[in-house]
Amino acid sequence: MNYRKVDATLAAALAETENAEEPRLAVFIHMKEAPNASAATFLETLGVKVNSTRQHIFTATISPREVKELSKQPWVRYVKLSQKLRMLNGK
Amino acid sequence: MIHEKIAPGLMVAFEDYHEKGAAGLLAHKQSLGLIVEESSQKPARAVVFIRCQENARLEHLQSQKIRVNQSSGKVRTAFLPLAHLGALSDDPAVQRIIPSRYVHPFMDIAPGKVHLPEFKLKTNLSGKGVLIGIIDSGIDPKHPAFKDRILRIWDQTLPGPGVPEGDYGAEFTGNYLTISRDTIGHGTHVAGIAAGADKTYGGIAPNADLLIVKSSFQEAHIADGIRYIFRVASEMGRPAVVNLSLGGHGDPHDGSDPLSQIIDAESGPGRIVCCAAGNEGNDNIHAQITVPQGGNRTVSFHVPPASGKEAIRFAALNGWYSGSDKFEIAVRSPRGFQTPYQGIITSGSSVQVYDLPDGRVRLTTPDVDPMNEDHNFLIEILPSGKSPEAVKAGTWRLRLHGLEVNSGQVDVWTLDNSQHLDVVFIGRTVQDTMKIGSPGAAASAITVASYTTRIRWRDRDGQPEETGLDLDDISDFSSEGPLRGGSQKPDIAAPGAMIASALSADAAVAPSYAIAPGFTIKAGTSMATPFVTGLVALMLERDPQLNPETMKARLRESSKIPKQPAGIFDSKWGYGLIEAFALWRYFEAPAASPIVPGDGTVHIGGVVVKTRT
Repeated sequence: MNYRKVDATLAAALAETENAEEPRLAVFIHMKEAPNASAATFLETLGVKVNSTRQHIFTATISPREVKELSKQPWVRYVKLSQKLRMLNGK
Repeated sequence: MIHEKIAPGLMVAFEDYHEKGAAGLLAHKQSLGLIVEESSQKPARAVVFIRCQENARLEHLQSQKIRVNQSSGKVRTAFLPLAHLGALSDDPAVQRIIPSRYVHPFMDIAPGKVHLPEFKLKTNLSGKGVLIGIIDSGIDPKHPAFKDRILRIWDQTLPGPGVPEGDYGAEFTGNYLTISRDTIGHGTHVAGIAAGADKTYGGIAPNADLLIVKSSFQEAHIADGIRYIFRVASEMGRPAVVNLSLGGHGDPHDGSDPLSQIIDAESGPGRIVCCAAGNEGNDNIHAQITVPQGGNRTVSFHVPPASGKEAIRFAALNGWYSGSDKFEIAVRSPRGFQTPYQGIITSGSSVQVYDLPDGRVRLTTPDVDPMNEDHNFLIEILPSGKSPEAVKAGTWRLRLHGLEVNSGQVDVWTLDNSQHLDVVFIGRTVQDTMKIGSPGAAASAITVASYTTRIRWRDRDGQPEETGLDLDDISDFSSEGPLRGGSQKPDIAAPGAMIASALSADAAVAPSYAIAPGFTIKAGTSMATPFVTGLVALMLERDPQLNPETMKARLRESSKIPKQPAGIFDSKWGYGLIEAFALWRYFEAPAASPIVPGDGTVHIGGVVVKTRT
């Protein structure tokens, strides 16, 4: 695992897991540049559809093992954990 | 007669009628749906609402001259002699009888205060041809306010094959729209403000079409939803505006988070996003401190005592500081137990766990975030093994030590599992600034604060209700900017309290907030945002290629803080309350689009230009 490519909340979430395949974590994958063919193929193994060659940020729901593999890829800039937002109606 | 089933106002009218005849109803008929003719032989009649079981059979009441207008539904209307009110209440299928009232157009209060009716009269705009995307808790597809205008629902919460933007959830169109339900009601209310069609509680752009994403509120899925809406809009060749009445504080509050970045990347001509500023204006969720080189400073935060559903089972601090600084952090518990100081960890996992008697503390201190070149640290506090119910109540302290200091400024935000962000900072480090997080922090988004246009209303039983907000002022709950780094947010303010709009038939509503069948009243920057979304839809109807920068500039230039000169920015108001009629100046010159009548000529701006044959 290249921990320099993993943000604080994702690092904290990974520290909790003992199972390499669970839980499934919703993440953002920041690319260094638009994906080439090999990067696109790798992303597709994670269930990510590369619909546009202009995109630099992709979303995925992946396992801790897949986060580890992703962090080793040279074309990955950073991987961030998706967080849950709230509705903003009053109290 | 079963008195408990009859609303108080109607009961009083009945008793006055019983005592004094038609003369006793003169005081009531101005407000209640009563038909009274003093000089006539006809008895007084009443128009009422009946609440009953959805499939209740009420045709037999006709024998008592009680005409129920609908054969099904949980709320129906009826016309009856007032003297037969008792017979209606005696029917076991009838649960409640409420007078029909002469209503005041609640939604018209908000638009009137920003001169929207004048703008729409002048421009004749209604949102026709524009797509409004609502990423929220879903929509009531059967609500009459949206009839025939919901084009698609991507319900991300149901099992299904998904869409190109994400292989989860299911997409519905046509007769299948009703498979998706809004059981929370927030999304339906928001959609009604932006685009509801109703004589009394209509929205801003009542002819816009709707694309709905029912979300789990995961940021990644919201991002997928934005891409979905804009992709569908491109396929349809139509301009679109997305409404995001949601937010959080787990980000750096500077727009560098991935959801904000995706909003910036996906926005463009005819592709606009509107976001809510947040509702933490009254909450001490942000602290700021400056730590000197070699020095120690403390930030205190309070975990409230609570139990059961309200218990704090998770408390966290999200801290950010300049990449040119290096700090060590430690946490001290209410009873004085402290973790060791932990600095930046650049090799291996940056997570360390410390089991204090008052709680399990997890400190995460990674190297710089490459997206903004700043340092982030995360403090998580969980109940200790010995007290599994809740995090220890009391004052906790974050301690910071300056190892290498150039800037020294540290900003921290609280997070917890409660509904209302109950863990708060206390003491001198509390700062009423920088409370706008993602996605409101997105540079290209139009971020909306809330303005209070109504503080009193009557619920559906005619009972007066009141909120403690100040009328005709910025709502005190509206979150303050600017962003970390100083960027100006919010952008503008719009009516956000108390706003009447569509109620989802599948959502519960507290009686105080139910104002009429199918409608409810709510407050929040959630409500202010679709007001602007609807306005943006009107602007896009006229100019489908407006880009976010121009749209934002026009809205800012058409806004004003009361009693301030135009063009003043305030961290609570943004550039002020939108004045819709001021937008008219951008429509005064008609678009110089070419007209080709087919006779070999081209007309531009009224000038005939002959083409070569």
